[in-house]
Amino acid sequence: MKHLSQSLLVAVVAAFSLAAANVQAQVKLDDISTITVAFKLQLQSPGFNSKDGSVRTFDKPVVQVINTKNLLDRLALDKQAQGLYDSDKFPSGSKLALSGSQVVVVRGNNDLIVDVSDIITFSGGANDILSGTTNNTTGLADPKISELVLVRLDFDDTFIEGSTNLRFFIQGLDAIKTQDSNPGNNGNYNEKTSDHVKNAAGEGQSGGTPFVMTGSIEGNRNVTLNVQPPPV
Amino acid sequence: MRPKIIFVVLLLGAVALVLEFFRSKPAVALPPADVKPGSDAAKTYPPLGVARMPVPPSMPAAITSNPSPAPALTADELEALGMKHDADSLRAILAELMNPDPEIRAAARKAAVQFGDRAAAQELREVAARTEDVDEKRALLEAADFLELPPLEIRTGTNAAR
Repeated sequence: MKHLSQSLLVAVVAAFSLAAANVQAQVKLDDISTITVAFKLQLQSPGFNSKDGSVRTFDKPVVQVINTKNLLDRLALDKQAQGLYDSDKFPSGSKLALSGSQVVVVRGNNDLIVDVSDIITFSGGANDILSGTTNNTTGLADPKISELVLVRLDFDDTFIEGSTNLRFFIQGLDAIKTQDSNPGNNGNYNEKTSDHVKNAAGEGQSGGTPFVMTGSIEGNRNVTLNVQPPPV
Repeated sequence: MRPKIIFVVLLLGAVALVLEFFRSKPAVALPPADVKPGSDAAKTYPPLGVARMPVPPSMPAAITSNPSPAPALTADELEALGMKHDADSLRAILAELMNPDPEIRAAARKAAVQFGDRAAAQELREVAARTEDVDEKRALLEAADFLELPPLEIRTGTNAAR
């Protein structure tokens, strides 16, 4: 009887430990910008020589596409190859997102799945062209501010052994719209930001095959923040 | 005829009548067991290939095709549905292609592209044919073209690019 009680106690403690570990693994990200992409690629056809070898003919480029889900499928395979994720697919509803400067994959409820900043990076241009109104006291959009900034997305998983062998960059002009609500008495306000790179262009290689690409990148962020007005 | 045989025949007849009674009752559609009540997937959507048409205000409610239409989705909800993989999510997205709000229509179009199901291309083309706005028509046709293209082939293994 005593032995059974001890076993039960051990089992209960183990179950609680596992639950605690699981809770720790579920990091919810409150302030993210979800990213969606839609790229159209034109890949070099291999070409073939004529029978007498006098001419080489190249077929029309092979046209293929990448959307966000396709990119996530690749990232899952890459992270699995790195041993940082235990499946070749992310769960349904997973999103690509920007959290600060980190590019991450999150679940539909914004729980962090994995950081993919070693494969995808975003970089911006030096100039930021503003239009709209900002509040001089709080620095917030009052109510809207628009920005134009050059943005570049780099994807490179070729450094990972067993990866999907994809490397490209794509860049374009990002139209950012920010809308802030009036801060309440506690300083809380809602900020909505939307990014849209409509006519992005870039190039890369997939498994060694060169391609050029066009497409769009969009970002959406909706977050409650806090601002404290400076003391008078 | 023996009383036992008469009893059996009467019993069979009664069973047949009861079965016929239940068979003639309208079937009650239940959501799938894994759909939570109140979730997006639990809402009632038209079948694939039927975008929700705006109903003219003069049309009496009694002849509308859907007596309890699903509440319209927000752009954020549509974006989230675009990242799912189930047919209910796609139906919900396509149902918003004819939403009266142009922002919701655009969000539905983008969500359809992200959902990435080739079957949605025909629906996008049909909506484009009914759309008068030139820019929106072009965007719908571009989205359909995108869906009909194959995704970039994944080649895992040795890293040929290096």
